[in-house]
Amino acid sequence: MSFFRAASFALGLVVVGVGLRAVPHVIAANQSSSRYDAGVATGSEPSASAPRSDPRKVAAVVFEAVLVTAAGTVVLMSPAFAAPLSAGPPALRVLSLTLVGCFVIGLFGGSPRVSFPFLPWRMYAGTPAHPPFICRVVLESAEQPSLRIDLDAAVPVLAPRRLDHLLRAQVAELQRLARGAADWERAWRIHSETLRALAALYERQHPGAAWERIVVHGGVVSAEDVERFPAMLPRLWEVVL
Amino acid sequence: MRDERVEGSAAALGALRIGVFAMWIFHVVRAPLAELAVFPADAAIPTGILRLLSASGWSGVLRAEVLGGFQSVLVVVLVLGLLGVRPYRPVALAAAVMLTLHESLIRSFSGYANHQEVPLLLTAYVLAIFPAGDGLSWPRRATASRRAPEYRAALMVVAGTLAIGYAAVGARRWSHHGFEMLFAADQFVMFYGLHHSLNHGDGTMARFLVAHPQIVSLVKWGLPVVSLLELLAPLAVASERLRLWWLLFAVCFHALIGLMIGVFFWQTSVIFALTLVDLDRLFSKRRTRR
Repeated sequence: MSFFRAASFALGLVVVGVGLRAVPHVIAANQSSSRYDAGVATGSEPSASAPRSDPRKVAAVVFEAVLVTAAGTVVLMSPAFAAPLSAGPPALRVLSLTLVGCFVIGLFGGSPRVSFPFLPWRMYAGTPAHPPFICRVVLESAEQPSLRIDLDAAVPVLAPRRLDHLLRAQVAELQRLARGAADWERAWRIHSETLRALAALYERQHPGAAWERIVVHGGVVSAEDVERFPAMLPRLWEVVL
Repeated sequence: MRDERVEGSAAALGALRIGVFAMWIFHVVRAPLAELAVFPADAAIPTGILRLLSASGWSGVLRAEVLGGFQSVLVVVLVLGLLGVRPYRPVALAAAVMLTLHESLIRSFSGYANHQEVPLLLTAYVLAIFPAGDGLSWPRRATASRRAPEYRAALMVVAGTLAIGYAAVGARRWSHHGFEMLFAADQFVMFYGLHHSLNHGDGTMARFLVAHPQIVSLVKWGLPVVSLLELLAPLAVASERLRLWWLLFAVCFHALIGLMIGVFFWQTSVIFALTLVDLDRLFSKRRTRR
């Protein structure tokens, strides 16, 4: 593949991906500004993450697009990649480049929920603004000392860390919603059923102990709190088993 | 006369097929999928291809007998794929579709963007597209000289795709966070160190990091270097001379990440090794010696 063709192909994929990623921001910004223009008091300015409202973000996206285009061009035009692919049947070439295309578009415009397995790879790409929120699930009963559940060991099908992520999302939602509201009741039902399911799976693995409650502890922990951990972690709520 | 080099290429692709299907079998067999049926259906949000299901279809899928049956069939298909039995293409396609369903199902219970299995899934797609059942298969079959470029192309499509992925991770970090990686990285290292150690471990690593700020500084200075090397991943595809060096970096980098925050992408390292090391030559030499 020539340099020009490889660069055009890589750039085309990146532009489609960036476009897909930008569309929701542009729509949000347009809706917000049209409400403002119409004199509707929404109390909200166009989204801060809208590309046109933040020149630094636009510059970063352009720079990122240039870097990924360069990386794609190097791969596509390298003889090790291009020579065997060009010598093979056209159908294989089309399928291979479609797969690479979906992958690159997913890197920019993908969504883990919608376009799986073509999704963004942004590992450790941000500097967190706050210390981490730590969440622990503990079984309790009057007869024996309390026991922290290793979530990955208790539910290996959701390892690694997916059950932890699910529980934190539920905790965050419960903390965000107003207690007693219809949404809160629904979120609490799902959360308590999830905790009961977790306890049931744990007891299936470790029969014999009669646990009475499953308790959620959670809170923000900074480096200064580490020496007092886990005693400093607040008890959030419990579900009776 | 048999073409040893073609057979070497077919065997190299066969080795990738065996490695990838073996890793999938390990991943699928290690945990009963039916456990998902214990959780409330509305704790999950259908992901990927499963979004096409209706609410009743979704509840129907989340039944222990359906999940258990699906897992058993998937294991059989994966074993057939590993052996490379004929007809290979339908078996590999079935494996690719079923693995996509399997992973979508598990991810539906958490939006957690864990990329551990994604390269493995993409490689399964490549193995379904290309004639990966010709080499190291049971029963043994003849390889066709005209297919020599296809064997090699399959390995390079996998390596190239992953290299672009790594470059994208580095590009993201450099373009959006640039020098912040150096000036605010203490916070970054402490965040992930505490997050992993306190959520998933007993807190030993968190206490170690708090007591040894020099380690935090070391990791902090390593971050831009790692991001730069990730950005250079496509050179490992382009240059044979750089491949082993880059592979060494990838293994060390993943091992370090595994030590620090408990996320070890060993599958990706294995795929890189199977595609970047010149297995064609190794297999050709073995055959010539025989």
